[in-house]
Amino acid sequence: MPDEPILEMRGLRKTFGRAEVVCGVDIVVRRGEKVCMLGPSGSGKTTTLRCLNLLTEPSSGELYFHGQLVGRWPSGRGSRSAANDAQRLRRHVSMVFQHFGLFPHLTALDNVTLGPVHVLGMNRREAAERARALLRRVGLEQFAEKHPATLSGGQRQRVAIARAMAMNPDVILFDEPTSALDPEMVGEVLSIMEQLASDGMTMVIVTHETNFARHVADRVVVMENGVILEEGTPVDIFERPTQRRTREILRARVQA
Amino acid sequence: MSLTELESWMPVLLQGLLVSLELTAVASLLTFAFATMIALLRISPLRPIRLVTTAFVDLDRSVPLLALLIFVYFGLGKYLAFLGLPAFWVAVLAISVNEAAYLGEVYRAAIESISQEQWDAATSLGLSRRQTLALVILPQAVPAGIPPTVNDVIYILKASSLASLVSVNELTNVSTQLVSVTFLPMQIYMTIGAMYLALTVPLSYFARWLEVYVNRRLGLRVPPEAAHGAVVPIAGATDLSAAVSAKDATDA
Repeated sequence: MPDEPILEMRGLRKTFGRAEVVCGVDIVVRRGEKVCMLGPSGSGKTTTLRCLNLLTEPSSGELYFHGQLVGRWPSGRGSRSAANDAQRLRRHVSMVFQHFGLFPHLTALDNVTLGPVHVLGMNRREAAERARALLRRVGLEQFAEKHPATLSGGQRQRVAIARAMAMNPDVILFDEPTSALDPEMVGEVLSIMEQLASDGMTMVIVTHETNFARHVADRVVVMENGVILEEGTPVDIFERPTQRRTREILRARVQA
Repeated sequence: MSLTELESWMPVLLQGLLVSLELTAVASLLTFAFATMIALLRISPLRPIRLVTTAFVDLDRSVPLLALLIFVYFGLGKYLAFLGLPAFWVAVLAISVNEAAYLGEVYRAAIESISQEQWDAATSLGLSRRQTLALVILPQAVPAGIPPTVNDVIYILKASSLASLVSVNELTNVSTQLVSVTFLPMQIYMTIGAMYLALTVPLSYFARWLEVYVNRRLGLRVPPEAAHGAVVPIAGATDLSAAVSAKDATDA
């Protein structure tokens, strides 16, 4: 079922103290879809993304995974059972971070095998074999025994992508995966992501790379001030946006 | 003072030294265990546990070790006699409970120095809180905790001399007894001073070496001043920030 919704968030609101960062966002991610989220800094894109795997707990809203309710907030439930549900969800929803989040005390290979061994219960040999195959896919097989400190930013992010893929997730969330990279390393990471996209992986990508969004996304979501300004195909958003603000935001991005 | 005189005290002093070392070893192990417990309780997700632990730490840190020792030995002496707890163990408990509050705070600071993104990355892989601590956070916090731990052993070795006041026959106590028969306080106290020194100096060098070694083993960055072999012992530093500013001062 190609249109089957994998993740669905309804009525998401998130407040930090008195600041409301996300004010009523609905988002559906369907199987195989590539959703790119654009918008100025502080528009709530990253917070929305982090609510999709419950790294950040929504203040209010409902989250569905494959049509099943994962949680409803504000929640009166005990924190333990909610934590367990969130933990189960995260086995299927991987994440790639702006600053890579590699574990510095582990080799590239061990970074990739940690989840499969300790979360999926895979035996070490099988996990290592699969990890090598994934590192080969991101072009880093020869760096398997290296620690993150000895890798470049682009290489670290590619290891982080391999680590996310190793969980065999239903969807991968990318939080500004190229924003912390030197310009010459952005290309290698984007090309891995494009390859992943063409393999049919479901992806939600918070990014400032408008060109990438234009070419890879099935759907572009433009956010500002905690709400979705406009949502549509790249052609709709980039060629004939209905909102003047969308055009301004995208123009600012292209120039920057 | 003749050589034969020195020879005649030596067995007595060495016997005292042995008790000091035993006291230090046992108290250090207990301190390490208590401190680890305190650090983990202090970062518990459950607020009541955090509050109780914080209160305990604050209370414990506000009591001078000597006062605690005297209170436990003399104040609680009746009950301790009932339990059959000898002076040696009274000293061990007082020292380790008192020190654990400090070292536990150092460990907590070491754990909290690991960035939120490491928690996020581990959590997003589906690891539980316990797995995240054991597999990701603690292994990275350990190197930062090692020099303060060895420094604490040095501190405990020095604090063990306080046990002389509650009748434990450790180095300071036996030397005081020797002085009262030989009337040679300077010679005897200088001898035991040299003994303490011979133990503490190598320990602080060992602390620095161990930090570099562990960092290398874990593939972490080696602090440049440590890599060049310059030794900056931070004796008596009781928390990471104090340790860091002390080190900054020496570096400047």
